[in-house]
Amino acid sequence: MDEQIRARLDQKQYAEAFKLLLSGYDGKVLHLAYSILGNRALAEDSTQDILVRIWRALPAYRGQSSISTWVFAIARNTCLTALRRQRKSGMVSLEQPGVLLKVDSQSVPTTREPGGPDLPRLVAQLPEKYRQVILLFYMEEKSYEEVAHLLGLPMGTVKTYLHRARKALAAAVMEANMEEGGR
Amino acid sequence: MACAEFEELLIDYHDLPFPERTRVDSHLAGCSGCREYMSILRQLDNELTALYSGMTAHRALQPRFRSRIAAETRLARLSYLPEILDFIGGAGIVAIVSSLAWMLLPREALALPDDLLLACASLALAGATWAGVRAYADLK
Repeated sequence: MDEQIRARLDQKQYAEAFKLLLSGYDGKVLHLAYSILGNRALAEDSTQDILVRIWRALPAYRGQSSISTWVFAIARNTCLTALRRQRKSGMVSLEQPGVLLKVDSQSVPTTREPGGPDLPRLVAQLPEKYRQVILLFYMEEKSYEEVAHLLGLPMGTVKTYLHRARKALAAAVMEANMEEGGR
Repeated sequence: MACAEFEELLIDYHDLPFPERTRVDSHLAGCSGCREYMSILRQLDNELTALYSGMTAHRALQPRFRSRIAAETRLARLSYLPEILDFIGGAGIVAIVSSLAWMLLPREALALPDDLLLACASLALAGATWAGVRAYADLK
C-alpha cells in the first residue's frame, strides 16, 4: 500500500495517492483520534480535519519517514490541537483528563450485565496515556506493534502502559464487585 | 485477591513464555484467589474487545466528509493554465525581441518579408498583454 502511494506521489498523481491513502488509513486515523479525544463525534470531526490536512500536505511529503509514520504524526498533532482548543474553550478542564470520554461513555453501547461495572466509565477514569493505549490495543486487534506505531511510542512502553491499565481496571472491577456484594 | 507473586504474571498471561505459563497454570489449579483474579481479567478482555474492536470509519466517511474532500480535491486539481500562459509569455518575449530587431536593424540585414515581421509584432503585443494579466492574477 505505502509503496503504491509513494509511486503515485513520485508521479505527482496526488489525487490517486490520496485515494489509496484514504482507503488504507481512514480507520486507523479514526481510532487514533478516538483514543486521544475520547469522544466519537469529536474524533470523527478531527478525522475529517486530519485527512484534509494530509491532502493539503501531500505535495510536501519528502519521504524522510514512512507514509504511516507521517500520517500518524499529522493525526496526533491535529488531535492534540483539537484537545487544547476544547480545553481552552472551557468544554474540558485541564485538571480533568478523560472528561470527554466520560461524557461519551454514556452513549457507548455496553455489554455489561445489570449491576456489573460500567467499563467505559472505568476506562475513562484511567490516566490519559494508559487510556490511549488500552483503547488502541482493542481497536487495533490487540497488536502491540500497531499501537506503538500509531502513538509513536516504543513497544516496551506500550506493554508497560497496557499492563498498568489492565491492573487498574481489574482493581476497579473488583472494587465495584465488592461494593455490589456489600449492598 | 491474587497472590502477590502471581498478580503481575496473570495480567500478562497471554504474553508469557510457555514454561512460565505452565507454572502459572499449575498455581491457578490450586489457588481460588488467583482464579478469581484471572476470571476478572478474562472478563475485562472480552468486554473491552466487544466494546472497541468493531469501531470502523463508516461514520467518518459520511457524505458531508466525502463532499468536503471532493471539494478540496477539485480546488487543488492541477491546472495547465499557468503553463499555457508561460508559453504565451515566452512567445511574447520572442516577438518583442523580433520587433525591436525589426525597428533597430536595417531592413536589408533582416531580409524578412514585412508580413512575417508584422505578425511578430502582433504576437509581441499579445504576449505582453498576457504577461500583464498573469502578473495581475498572481498578485491577486
